[in-house]
Amino acid sequence: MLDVEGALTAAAGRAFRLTRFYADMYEAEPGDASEIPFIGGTDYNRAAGLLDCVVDREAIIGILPPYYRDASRFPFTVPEDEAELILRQRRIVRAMKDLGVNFGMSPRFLIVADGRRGPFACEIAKGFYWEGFQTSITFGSGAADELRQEVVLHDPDYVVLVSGRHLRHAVDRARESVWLVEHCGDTPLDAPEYPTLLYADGVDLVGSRPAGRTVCDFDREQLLIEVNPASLLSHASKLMFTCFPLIRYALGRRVPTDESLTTGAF
Amino acid sequence: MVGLHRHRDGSVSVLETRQRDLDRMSRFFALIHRVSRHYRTVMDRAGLSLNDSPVEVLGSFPPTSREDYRDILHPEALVRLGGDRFVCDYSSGSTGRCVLRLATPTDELGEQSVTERVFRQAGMRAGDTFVCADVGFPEIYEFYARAARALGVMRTTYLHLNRDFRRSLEPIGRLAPDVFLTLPSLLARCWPHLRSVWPLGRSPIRSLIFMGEPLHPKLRGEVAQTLGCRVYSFYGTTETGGMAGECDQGAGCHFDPTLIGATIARPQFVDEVTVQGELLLTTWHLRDHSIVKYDVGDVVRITRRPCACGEASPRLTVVERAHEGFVLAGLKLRYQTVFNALKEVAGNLDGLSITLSDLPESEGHTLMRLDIPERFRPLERELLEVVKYKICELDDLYQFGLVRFQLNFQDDGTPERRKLWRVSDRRRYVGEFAEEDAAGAGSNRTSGSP
Repeated sequence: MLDVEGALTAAAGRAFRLTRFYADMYEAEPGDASEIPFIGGTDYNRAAGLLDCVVDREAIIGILPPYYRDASRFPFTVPEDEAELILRQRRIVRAMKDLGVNFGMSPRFLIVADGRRGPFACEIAKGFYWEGFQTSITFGSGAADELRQEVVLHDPDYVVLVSGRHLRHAVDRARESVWLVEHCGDTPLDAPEYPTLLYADGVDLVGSRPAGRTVCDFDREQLLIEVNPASLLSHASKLMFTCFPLIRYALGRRVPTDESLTTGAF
Repeated sequence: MVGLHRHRDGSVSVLETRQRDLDRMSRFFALIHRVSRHYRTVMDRAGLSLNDSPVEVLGSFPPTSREDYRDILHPEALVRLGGDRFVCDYSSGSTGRCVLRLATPTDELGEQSVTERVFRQAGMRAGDTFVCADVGFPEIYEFYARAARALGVMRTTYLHLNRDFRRSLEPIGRLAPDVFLTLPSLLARCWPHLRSVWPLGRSPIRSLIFMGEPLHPKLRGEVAQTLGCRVYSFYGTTETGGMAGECDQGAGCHFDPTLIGATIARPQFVDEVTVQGELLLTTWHLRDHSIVKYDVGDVVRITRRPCACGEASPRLTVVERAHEGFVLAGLKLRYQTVFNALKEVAGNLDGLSITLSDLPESEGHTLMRLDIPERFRPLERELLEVVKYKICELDDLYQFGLVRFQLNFQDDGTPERRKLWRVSDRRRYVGEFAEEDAAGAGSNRTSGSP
């Protein structure tokens, strides 16, 4: 059984020692979970830039685009090193399996995106095709007829709606094969009958929820999701960060997890 | 009026020299002097003053190397732009290590204006369907989709190709693109499937745009005839962005020297309006991650002779690659990059030959055979690990199943020892016209193919 509080305190301690932002934020190394504040995007006004928030600038090999190309609560570009890229890929594989993908069948994916969510959609595509699956992207205008036609033209095994999620009923496919991308910064979609990938700026993929299930699955070795008792919103901590720490960082909504059911927090 | 200006060191720059162009160049040098510690040092050391004529400053500015870009300009940009939002293009500069080209929204717009111009020249127009096909790098095509939408394109698709080319290309018949953009080496592998999608000469494709590497002239002709389309080259580098594109005449890639400046080192004048030599590029159109006289590594010919299409802009034609290298699925690699990486585990490695050949489609894309002296056989496992995982360009392709490696250990002291320092390219539509040695001799690249 993972010592959650110990893992959180250790992660916060490392963030304190390794980044200027958390050093300024905490002022002293947290001794236990009670000394670790819940934070959000606004707290990053203390940082001069992303280099205050990373462990090793030379290890950066890429960035994580926000959900909206032109808007994000997090004020800087979010970087990534190779180790965190591998961890993120592990989360992607876990989510794909959770949503029922048969890796032996080489399924084909079609991602539906628009101009605002294009870079974000590309990052999803990279995670999928890294597993060898064909993952094409259509950049559409958001009309139902167009979406329907694109799906016919590509004939994919799975359609992933990054944009046009309100048009999900227009896709003439089994609901299990139409995935919705939910972004923590948006109003919840309230579409429990569709499989869902849950994303948050800064964290990238948080977890997944298959059709019909009410709670989100996520990698508990990598992420700790807690409820801020003051706001009653969920906060995430990256327990295994090597580049860009997030400790008790506000996701912007409540994420339904197993813990929330057992603790009655939701 | 575009002119060819000869600098004191003999190099030649393609310049507009109206007062407003000179003012703009002066502002550019003032900007980089203010924001870039590296370029400020370079200018101060060279005794370049912001009060000097910008043409003089450009002429005396030392070239920027790939290593300068990777080791100095990239980290400097990361510090400078850390408080902003930016996107990244991934490049190694063919150096084996991941380097990011940072682009702020402003710089993206600068590059988009060049891309829109190139697409327009290639016949893209309102209402078109635009399909891009590649094995990776979707963010590049998302950017192209934005440029296409600005031209009124209705539908844009990134068609992902994986090692099963037949299956992954299959939607293209239904997508029926008016404009199709891809890389020559991928086009070559897709061609057996693509050629039979439509009746001879009657594909919906009006314009096929290729980029990133040269297109074999035989394949170019066959594509144009079989698909019934025009074929256009789009020239650029990751570090500077897209630069130039062909028009219907196919007689060189047009570019706007007020957006990206071209300087020719060691020039030879072919005639009074045409010069040939090593290409250095200056990104006048970028503000946040600019580069001055970037040493691209290509020998090009630039002419300001008016084109039959009616456009007065200068045209660029690639003559040969100055740096030894080869392309795998669109990713450029240098012999020296592979050699240096192998030396990390075999310090006294003194011989290597690389042979590239096509794999049967069921087995991937390219077989890369490395001939290595026999005495390194005990390091076989470590050497394989290097080529699979330690060279960033190859890492991706290996993961995608597009390249396989074969180590071939040869007796030391073989009479054919000289051959141990070669790149041999036996791939169809790639190798027939691109064999070169590791000492840097030029390849037989066809004129007009970037």
